[in-house]
Amino acid sequence: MNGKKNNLILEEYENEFSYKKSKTNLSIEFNRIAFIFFIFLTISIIYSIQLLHLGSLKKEANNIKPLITKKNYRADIVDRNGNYLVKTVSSIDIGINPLEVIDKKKLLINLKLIFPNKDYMEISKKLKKIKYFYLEKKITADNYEKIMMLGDKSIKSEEKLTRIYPQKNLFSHIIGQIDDDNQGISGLEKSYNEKLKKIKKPLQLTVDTDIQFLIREELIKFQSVFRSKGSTVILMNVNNGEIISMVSYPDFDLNKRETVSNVNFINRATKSVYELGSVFKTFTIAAGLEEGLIEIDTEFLNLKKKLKCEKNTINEYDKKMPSDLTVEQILIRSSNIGSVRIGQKLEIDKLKSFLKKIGILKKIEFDIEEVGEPIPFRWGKCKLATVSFGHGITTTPLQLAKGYSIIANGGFEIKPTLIKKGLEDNINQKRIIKEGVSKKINLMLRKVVTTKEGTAGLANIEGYEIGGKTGTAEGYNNKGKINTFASIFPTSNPKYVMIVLLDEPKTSEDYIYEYKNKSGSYKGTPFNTAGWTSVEVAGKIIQKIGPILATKYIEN
Amino acid sequence: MKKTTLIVILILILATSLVKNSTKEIEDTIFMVNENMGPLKSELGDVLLEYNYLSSPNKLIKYQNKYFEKKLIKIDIMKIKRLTDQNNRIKVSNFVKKMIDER
Repeated sequence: MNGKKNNLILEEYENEFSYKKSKTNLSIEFNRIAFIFFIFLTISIIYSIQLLHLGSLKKEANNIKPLITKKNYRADIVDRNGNYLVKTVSSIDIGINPLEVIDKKKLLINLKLIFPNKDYMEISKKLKKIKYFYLEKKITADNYEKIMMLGDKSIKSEEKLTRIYPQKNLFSHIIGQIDDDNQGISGLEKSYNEKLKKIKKPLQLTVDTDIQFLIREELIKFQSVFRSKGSTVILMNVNNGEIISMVSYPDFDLNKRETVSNVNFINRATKSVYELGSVFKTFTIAAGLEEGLIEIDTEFLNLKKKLKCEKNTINEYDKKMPSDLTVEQILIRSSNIGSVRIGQKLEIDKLKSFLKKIGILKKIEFDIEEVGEPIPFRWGKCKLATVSFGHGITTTPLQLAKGYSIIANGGFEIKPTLIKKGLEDNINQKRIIKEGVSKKINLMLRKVVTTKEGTAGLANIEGYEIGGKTGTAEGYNNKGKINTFASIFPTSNPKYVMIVLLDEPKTSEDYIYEYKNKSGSYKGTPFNTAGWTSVEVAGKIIQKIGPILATKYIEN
Repeated sequence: MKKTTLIVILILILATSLVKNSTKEIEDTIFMVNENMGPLKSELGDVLLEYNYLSSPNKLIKYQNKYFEKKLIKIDIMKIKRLTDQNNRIKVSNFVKKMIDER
């Protein structure tokens, strides 16, 4: 072992010796290399210092974005035109720490000069205790300046973030509420809770504030005319599913942050499920056309006035309904028995598969979580008969809007949305209904509005080519009536679908109707049907919003 | 040859350090601008919020009722005209054409 160690020392000595030798031989070259090395070293040091300096700047730059790093930050929400619907703003709360108060009397006098309307007996009591308390929340800029000028150590200011809703009630059901911890509890505030905390840019919606306002105004006006329990309107682009307006009335002021426990404040557009009645006849006929079982002029002869199916009796609403009707006449005159005959021709599987295809039967995927689920049922002979004319089947108004959009837009799948996306995302490509079905249906829907026998004459507003189908149904479990009008316009090239639903409306004795398809007017509501209620509301709404839609969205 | 290479290297090093220095100045300016933009953005947001609130349809209707005697009326779409320039002449046509079933 010792012998090996000695050998190793000897080798090291030899190496050191040879190195010294080579150094002396290459002294000039070494100086050059050392000089270049020195320059490189100096430059690299300068470079490193610069890098370190820039690195530190970037770190600082991240720190200067005050809103992002602040607790409770939530991104703003704007409408399709960039108008604020929700904005996070900084506010200052003023508190007092009684332990740090030096002269209580002087402080109270000074405070009274700034806030003359406060209860100073109460404040005096609080000052005697040791507990920190808030003197003024969300203080104004003027008062903040004044109170800070006092220079009292016991006065503390706390900067907080709050959500402001400048449109108050207008978008209450869409935007939803947040709790005291700034967590979304309903609407988009809930479904986009995490995203709103992360994104820096405002969340842009598809809704238009002006149109939403005009529609809501009309609903409020007609609420006093027809005294309905509530009402809802959905206005949607049939080609890309963008919801331009979605109003559910009654609504609430988001700024008040009240707990909404009254069921009547439910979002009727998306959460409530209704038996919508004759608006479903359009689907039955579209399914028949899709399957090639019927054509517009296919005749159904010897239609009975009454049909019995188990316990149920199916009647015609119009006692003067002819017994021979074409498919077109069945839709225009809203024949129940005629629709049953088409349904029977289709059979369960075909009608079921069509309704499934257009998204009526299952819960819809939507941007907010408040979405109703259609009540499930068992198909049978009687169910087929009732579903054919829209009874014994429930769905939400949003799903109805989707179904009508697909039928009107040429048969392309759409996804209703409240979030504005890029143009590419909105182009629909997937055809789910055969070409040609749309044209036939749109033509028939137009005739429901324009012809004397049609049930929606009051919506024939000049210049808009409105088409649509009415639906009058008894509420589920024999509650009051649900009057619906599903409209599309312009029928020659549909762009919009609008659903107007009145929940339990009553007739009006004083309201004056102006006829559209003939001259003259009529005082009082003769029948509590969609044709005399929802259609009138839809007509008035389109008269008001039509010029905006026609001019503002002309390129779209 | 060696001297030329050395000079070229030195010039390149010098040029790099000069470019780097000017880049640093630009980065500093960007940083300063970004820092100054923060409060301006916040101020703009507050002003826009105020504008949106004061010009909201609800407010405008209130002002209209308060300050103007004449009522706001809805536009009849049939009265909207389309103006088109045709060889330096303005052609006036209806914005919406009447449908056959409306005539």
